[in-house]
Amino acid sequence: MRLHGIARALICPRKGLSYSAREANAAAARMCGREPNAFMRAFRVDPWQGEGALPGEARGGENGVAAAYMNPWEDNFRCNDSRVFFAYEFLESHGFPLVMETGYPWVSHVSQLWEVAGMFPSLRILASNAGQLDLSGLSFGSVSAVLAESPNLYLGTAAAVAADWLKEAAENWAKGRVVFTTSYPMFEPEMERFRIDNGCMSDAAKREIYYDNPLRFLGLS
Amino acid sequence: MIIDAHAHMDECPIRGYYDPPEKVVRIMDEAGIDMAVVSAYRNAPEADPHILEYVARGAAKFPGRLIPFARLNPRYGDGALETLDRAVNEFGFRGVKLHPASYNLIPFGEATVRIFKRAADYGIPLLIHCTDEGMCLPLQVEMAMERSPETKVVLAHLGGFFHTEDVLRVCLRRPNAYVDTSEIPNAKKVRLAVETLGAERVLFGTDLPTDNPALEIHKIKAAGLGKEAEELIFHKNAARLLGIDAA
Repeated sequence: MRLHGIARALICPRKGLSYSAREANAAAARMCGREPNAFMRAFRVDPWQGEGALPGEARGGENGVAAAYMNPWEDNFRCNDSRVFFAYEFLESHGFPLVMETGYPWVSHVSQLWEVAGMFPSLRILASNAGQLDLSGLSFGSVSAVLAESPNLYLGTAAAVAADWLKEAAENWAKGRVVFTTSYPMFEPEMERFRIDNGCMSDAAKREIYYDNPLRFLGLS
Repeated sequence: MIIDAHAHMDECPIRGYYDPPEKVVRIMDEAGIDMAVVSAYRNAPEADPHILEYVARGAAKFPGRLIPFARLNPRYGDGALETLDRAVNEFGFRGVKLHPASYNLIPFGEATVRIFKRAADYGIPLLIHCTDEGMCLPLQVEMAMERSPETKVVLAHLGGFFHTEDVLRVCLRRPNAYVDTSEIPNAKKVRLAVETLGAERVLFGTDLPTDNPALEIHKIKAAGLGKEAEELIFHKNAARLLGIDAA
């Protein structure tokens, strides 16, 4: 982070060898405790754990939880499966923004996120991986349409390979909702910083991507 | 010197693409790219019967800068082969581009393999979109190569987000296989490709104008490969593959 000028990061717990979200969350809490000025943490919600999946602690506070994180690919659920709606109801009613690992086939296509965003309009959801993991280029249209229609959806910039498309997102159809992300370790902070620093969007848009929009997503502005 | 082995030039309003040759060359100049392989976004032969002419005219406007590849749709059977013949014999196209996700055919089916073989007959390379989508997977492309082993094939995008290991194993098995570095945002994967294959079969690509060529160039440098490997990747490999005297 320091090498690439990233002041703070939201840590989204990875799936550990034990497959236990509880252990993953505990590890993230320890990490945040060691570097409280650098890290915030998201609470990983594995919906198959039922009510036990949900964050028991309130948002914020020292080493507290800033957001929730869900990974439909690793935890094997469709993000718009009605059986996981209880999690969205809780997060929405308790004011937790949600980072959703997006772009995976069958489980987190952006159209599925569109449905969820419509059902839970007060839940702020960040679509990681620029809403798609699709180098064919055929998914960009879906992402832009969904983001334009869903004011509670935010767009993570990691792997947003189409430069003009990202500019249009930041300055037009998702203005105020494009958030700098690295998806580290899947992608590389150096490349993701380069993407924005050398992007064709305005300097004002870059500042929004790096600073204003993340704060807005996290409810800190 | 930099030769971009994977770029585009086309005007396709229905898809929202407006990338005429003037824009492409301007972007190349800004990034310091000397030459670029260009293909259309639209396949030929399809609705527009003049795609070949469009690309040929665009390349002719900037001699020595734009290297035209014919982007084909194998669904047209003999029509696709005739289009390739015209492209090479009439317009001097230097290669073939295939994007199976755009026409939804398995690459190892007869329709596509005939194109592979015709490319081999002409001694021209075949650049194929090769990432995570069905019809575009590296192992599917390898099945086509098995049926046409003489074809020189460039598997674009280093196998995408999730199939880099596959594409590198394909290249290890197939001496006529190359990879291009375009679009995949990981310098580490470029390094892995060089460590696995050597630098001689790794081609620099950008997928411009969609992707930021400055980022693509930075990615190669960030891989920390050293000057000799960078020269191979940035221009010598492409020049050799295309039979260009880059000097």
